Amino acid sequence: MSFVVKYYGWGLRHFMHYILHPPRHIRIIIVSLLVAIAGTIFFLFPRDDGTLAEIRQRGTLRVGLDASFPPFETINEQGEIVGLDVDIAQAVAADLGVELELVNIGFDGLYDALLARRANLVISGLPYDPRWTQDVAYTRNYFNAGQVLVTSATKLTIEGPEDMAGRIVAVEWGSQADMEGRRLAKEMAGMTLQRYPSAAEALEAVLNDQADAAIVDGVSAVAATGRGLRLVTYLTDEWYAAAVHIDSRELLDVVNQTLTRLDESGEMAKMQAKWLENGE
Amino acid sequence: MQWQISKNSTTKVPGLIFICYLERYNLEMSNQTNAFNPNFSGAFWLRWLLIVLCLFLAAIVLRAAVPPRPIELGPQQTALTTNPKMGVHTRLTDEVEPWKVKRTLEMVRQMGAPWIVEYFPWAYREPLPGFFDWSHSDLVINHANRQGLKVIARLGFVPEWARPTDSASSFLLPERRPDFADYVQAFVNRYGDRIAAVIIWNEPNLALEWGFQPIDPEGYTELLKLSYQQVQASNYPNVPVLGGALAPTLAPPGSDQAMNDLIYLQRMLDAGAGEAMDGLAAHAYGWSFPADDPPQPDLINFRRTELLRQMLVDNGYPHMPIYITEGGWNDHPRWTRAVKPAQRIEYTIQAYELVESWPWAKTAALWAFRYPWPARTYLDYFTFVTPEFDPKPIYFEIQRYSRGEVSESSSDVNHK
Repeated sequence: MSFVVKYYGWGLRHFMHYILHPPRHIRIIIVSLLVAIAGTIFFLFPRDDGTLAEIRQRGTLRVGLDASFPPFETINEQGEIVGLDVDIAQAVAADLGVELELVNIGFDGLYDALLARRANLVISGLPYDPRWTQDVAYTRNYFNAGQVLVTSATKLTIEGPEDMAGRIVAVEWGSQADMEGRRLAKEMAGMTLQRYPSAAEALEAVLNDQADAAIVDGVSAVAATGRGLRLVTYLTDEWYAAAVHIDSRELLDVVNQTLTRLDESGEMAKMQAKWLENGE
Repeated sequence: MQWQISKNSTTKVPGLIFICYLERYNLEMSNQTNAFNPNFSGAFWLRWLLIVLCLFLAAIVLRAAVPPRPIELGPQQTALTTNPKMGVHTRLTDEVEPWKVKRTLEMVRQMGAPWIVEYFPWAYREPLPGFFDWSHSDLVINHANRQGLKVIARLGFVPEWARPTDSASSFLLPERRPDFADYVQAFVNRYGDRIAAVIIWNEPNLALEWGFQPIDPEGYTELLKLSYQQVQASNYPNVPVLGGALAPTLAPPGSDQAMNDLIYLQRMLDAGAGEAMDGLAAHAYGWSFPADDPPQPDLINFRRTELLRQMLVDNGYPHMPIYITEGGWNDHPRWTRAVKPAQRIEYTIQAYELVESWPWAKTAALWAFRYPWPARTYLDYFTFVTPEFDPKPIYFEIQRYSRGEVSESSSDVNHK
């Protein structure tokens, strides 16, 4: 241990000397490390795969979706694929100045379609999934489908789940909202959970003053806001985002710009109202 | 200085490096007149760096080599239920942590389901030809037995060494079929006294499950026959061999993706499958229909199983039992084939009751008890328990049913 004692007595001057003037073999190691780091950065730094240029050259944006998920995407009576996601895809295509081509694929095959280049972009009520982030890149979130606490627009005293003590809360029996309600009831003294056969009936109970609040999923909650009900807070998050191939960096930027534009201009809110509140 | 290192020590390589370093260091230190000579100190730093690196490597090797903490099997349990045909398909194949395996099986038992179906992939058990790793299957079967559960083992998934490079894991060349049959025999030799049945393959009427080769009922029957013969030649020839459950599908004739399950089964029976199985596994999904919706050849519903049963009878196998090894309903809020959560509860209980009344049905193991991680799709809405072991309301309702208690649907649910 004597060398340790000596080391501590060695002094800052010597220490700095060896930091600033390292011996030759240390210099070689440092230079080698720097070369290795530079090489790694060169090979690993994300490079674009040219998808955006290909879309512009072809004149079409191929969007993959599973048209079995209303109101995000479904097939209408005329056999057309319509929905909130289709409108968003249309906006992206318009910003790119190309035509929109919808590719209807089963949900399980959406990521594979991106990887196999059958689709340039997937917009399909797609929840963010960290396990896919080595292969695909997600855009910014555009909708939260998590569980929401909803109350009457006139009940201003309810500001959060902590106000549920002693209250009656309506939920759809057996649903995720029911699970959240059971969890909340364990924490809030005197909270009563009332179960209904559907989310719509749970919301109806709030409107009819049979319950103080309801817990429903994000889509049902947004749809209810125009009917005298108020979103208090999200109890859980389930964010939807679009996805591109991990190497389609430029396309990702474009889609993000479109989503930002739709948000900031209020168009996203209008689209949501169109598909969720009005149930087109 | 003498250094002793066990042959089996996982620290062997980094340990040797460390020892070499120490000995050389001691030698150099003894030769130094001034340990802090500036010319020496550069190497001094480098050596400390090496020490730290060696320790770090040793820590990594040790960490990787330490087996998962063993979990006590606990006392022998019994699944108490009013309906002994209740079952679930568990998803423990990719569950690494032993406590999660045990917790899952405990919760199955506490729900009142005495049967489970579990998948035991060939590729995981025999990663190299003739080299078997039974550690995970031992874990699952030991815990299942201790919880008093009957295990139906589904076998499939071709290892890389038994198929061409870049082929699908369900791709099995005819010349490799005997290798699969050997795996079936090895599995039965090990677990024959602790399992209720083995299922040979899964949904072979889908191209996806047949290695994207042309769908081939006669080829599958050949595989079934080879497997059956190997079980007959095993230490436990009485273990029931089940014909692989077919995917219920209305695929049009000539489809390269799937073959109608009724057509496929008839071709299997024509090829002699009835003599090479002790029972038939079946998948019974209800989609948006109630459990008692009448069966029709052009409709997928829970009672489609009765059409399979009739086909067995018509072909001279009236005593051959059917095991429902997947099935059930999905309660995703907006998936088009889903039902409302309340309906899912109602239909599931209805299905268990229906199967109890079918003398030719051994069990209904519904899909799926719990996933090891969220699928983040509608598939999550098939489960009874979340990946975090939170029971869903359907779990409590099935538990009430299995205990003969009153359902919430008739107590405190507000019907309009």
